[in-house]
Amino acid sequence: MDSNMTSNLLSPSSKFRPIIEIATHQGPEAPSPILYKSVNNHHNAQELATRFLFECGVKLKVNPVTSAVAAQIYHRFLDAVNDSSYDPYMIAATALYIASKQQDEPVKIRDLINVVHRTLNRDPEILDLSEEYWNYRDSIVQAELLTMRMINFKTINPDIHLYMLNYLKTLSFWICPAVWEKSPLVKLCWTLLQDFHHSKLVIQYEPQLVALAVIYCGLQLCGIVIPCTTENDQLPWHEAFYKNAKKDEIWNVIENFLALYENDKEMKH
Amino acid sequence: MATSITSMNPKDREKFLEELEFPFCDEVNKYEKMAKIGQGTFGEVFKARHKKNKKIVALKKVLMENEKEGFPITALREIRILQLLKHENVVNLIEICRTKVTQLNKFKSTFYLVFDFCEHDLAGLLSNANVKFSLGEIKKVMQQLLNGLYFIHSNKILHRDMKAANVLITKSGVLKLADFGLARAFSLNKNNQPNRYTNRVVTLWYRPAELLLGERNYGPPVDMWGAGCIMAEMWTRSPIMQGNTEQHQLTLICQLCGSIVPEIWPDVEKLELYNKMELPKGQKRKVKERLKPYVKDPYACDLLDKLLTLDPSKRVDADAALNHDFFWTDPMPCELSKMLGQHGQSMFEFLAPPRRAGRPQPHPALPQPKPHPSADSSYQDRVF
Repeated sequence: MDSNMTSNLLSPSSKFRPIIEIATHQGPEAPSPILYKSVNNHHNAQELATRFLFECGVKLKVNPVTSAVAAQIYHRFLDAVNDSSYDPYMIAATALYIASKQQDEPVKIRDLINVVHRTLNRDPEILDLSEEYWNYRDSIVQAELLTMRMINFKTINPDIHLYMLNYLKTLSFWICPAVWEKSPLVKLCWTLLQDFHHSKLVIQYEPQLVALAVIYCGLQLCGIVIPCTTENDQLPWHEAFYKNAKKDEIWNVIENFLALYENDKEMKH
Repeated sequence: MATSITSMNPKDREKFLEELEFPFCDEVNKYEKMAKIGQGTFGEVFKARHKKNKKIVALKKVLMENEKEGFPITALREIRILQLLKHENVVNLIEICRTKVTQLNKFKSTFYLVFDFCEHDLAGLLSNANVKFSLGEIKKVMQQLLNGLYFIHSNKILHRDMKAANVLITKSGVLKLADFGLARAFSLNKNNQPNRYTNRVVTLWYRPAELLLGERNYGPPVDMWGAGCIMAEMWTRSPIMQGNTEQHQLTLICQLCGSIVPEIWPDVEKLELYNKMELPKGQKRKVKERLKPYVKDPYACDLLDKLLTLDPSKRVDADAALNHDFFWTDPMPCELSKMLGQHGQSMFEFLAPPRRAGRPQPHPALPQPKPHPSADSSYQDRVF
């Protein structure tokens, strides 16, 4: 080791300087940082926690489906407890931890804590193996057991994703290839579905219905009409996939979900 | 991240924890423990009775000590897989229970997986000389075993710990595959990317050659090899290849199934440990001739030969095995309940006196003992 480097390491100015600048590490799609801790009202924090969850998921490089499963665990937990005093960010982090295990791509608890700490605090201080670290750790390990007991160890499967994939696959054989290949339908549906996971409604409707609502919404937005079908068909295409997916029901689901985007505007201001 | 609970004073906190309610996860004390029926690296298994409806169950404790990463992912995997797999020939997971937290357990719950109780395991039955299986009964055992494997494999799950002790049989003669603690989901290779699963799985005596040679891109054939070992055991009554080390196990396999060479197993030379392990040369395949003294039925010998195939890509799968003439010629598979009815007592390997080898079967998760210097020469033909 050359002497220059040694002195550099010892000088106080370079101590704990992050090796990679965080700002340059975030892709162009990274949303503008939300200051989670400055949200004063608990209800808003509960809603923002899913945002926090997806943000941590991206930073931990877990599969988006894992984040979606985590969001469902989060909603299920809140649904089961009837008690809103739990720290929503801790529950969200725990949900991510459980989902990563259930989806067989386990996240290390140390990594999770680092990401949670940085995302909550947005400050560059590195979390040492201090009391604070152990507090995080205890909280997550305890909350993991609590959450699993609350949801009765039920495995959450990404059912909506699977239904949507199957429906889209079927539709791809039906829609004219030129239209299909040019349209952003599949990517759009995927994005909508991920967004819908910010709402607790995602666990309240049947998965088939949500999947069809997403596709219906996507088709409308892309201006694609399913060939050889009309508004007055005896058996509309969505009912052919799932007989409970009546048009009114689908619209109902879409409207409820689209309200998310309105809420989002309000929350930011 | 500070929850309200961390800010409570210790007394209130303890009271709060003790009074927490979990409406969906019952307390384990609704069952009363009757006896311990199993012990392994996975933890303890108890026989227990429901206090109200008297139903008999098996309780499997989830080991949580020394867990650095929270609730063990292996237990979570087992739970997920068992929730998915509901089949006559797969052990049924009823629910998951917890203990109440008190000062005594430092406010930490213990968790139990609750299963339907099965009276026997196959290792226990085979170690009891009074239990005699007729050919029809052996067929019934194997048919149910393969049915279970067919079901789990078509659901894209590998068992990865096939052995006689993990095959349970109820007193009415229904076979159940159990212990999914090492099981995992598998996928067909995506975009020609080989899978990289751990090869430190399957109890040594039931471990196929591809795992011993370091294969990480394996699949259902690993369970089929185990099924073959178990099938042979139905006649020999003790495990057919009882190696002490991975090297020794490979030697025993070669002595039975013939030398491992690229001519009979294309691409075997590409496996990581092919050049590192000592593979006996010039061995002839003698599965049928070595098993014939035990297994008189020619169809049984033929099926065994197909299950104990070295090359995993040529090893018979569960579907083809079920279509084998063995199951469709006289004597046809017949119910086990009558034979089992003669034995009033539960038979588990844990409770049985040690079998011929005189030591417990090494578990895959444990480091294996070092080889003996003169191992290879002295072990020849020991089992048969």
